Amino acid sequence: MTTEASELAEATASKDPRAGLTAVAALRSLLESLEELQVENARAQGWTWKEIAGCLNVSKQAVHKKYGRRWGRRG
Amino acid sequence: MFERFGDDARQALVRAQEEAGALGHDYIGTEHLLLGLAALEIGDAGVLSSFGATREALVGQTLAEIGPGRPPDAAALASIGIDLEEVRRRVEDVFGPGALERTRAGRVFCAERRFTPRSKKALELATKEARRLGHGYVGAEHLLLGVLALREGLAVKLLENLGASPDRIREAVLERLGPRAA
Repeated sequence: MTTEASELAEATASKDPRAGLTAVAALRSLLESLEELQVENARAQGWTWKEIAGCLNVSKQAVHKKYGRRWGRRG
Repeated sequence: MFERFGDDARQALVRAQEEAGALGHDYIGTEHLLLGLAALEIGDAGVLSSFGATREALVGQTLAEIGPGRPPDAAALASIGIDLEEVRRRVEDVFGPGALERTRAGRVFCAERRFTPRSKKALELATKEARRLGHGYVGAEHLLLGVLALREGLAVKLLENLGASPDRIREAVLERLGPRAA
């Protein structure tokens, strides 16, 4: 296990639920934020929803539903 | 607004921001200004501790009055080994300055804390105090006088809770500044 993974396990197993839950929430925000930037960039470079979905390991429908309205009409 | 602020006053403002962060508050209120001054004990602002308003006592009072805020995301991420500043730096290398903050989910990562209207007012009053005293700079002592002159907000309430009269602290500061100040 990498250092990060063991620390993650440690924090999520923290006796103080507040600390552990806050860390999970912050991580989710960071994940969402990075996904948004990457999807936007991929669309700007002409990637299809299918290609993006493939990289994100989710269905094409899922990624299109989430971002289609914002960056749908491109290339 | 800060151009006339001396080094000690600037230090106190930086410390105020840090104290707000440590409490999980996403704004800089008068209580944090007071905490910044008490924590540094610089110049004539050191008078606070002689009235029992030490940093520790003020932190205790702040928590009793308004409780802790949400821990800042940077601290939460650090607890699981993720350095938000490093992530931010790398993201900005690729997508430009402020990239993370401009995403929908990323607003929570905004590192900057804003002064509340009351603490802005306290900063204005600090500038006025300095001018009234004929000083060409705004020091930590003027900042303290500004917070005290506000007469409202959490800072004044915390002092009263600790039995430290804002008026008497003010007198003590002016006394230290010299007979001509009072």
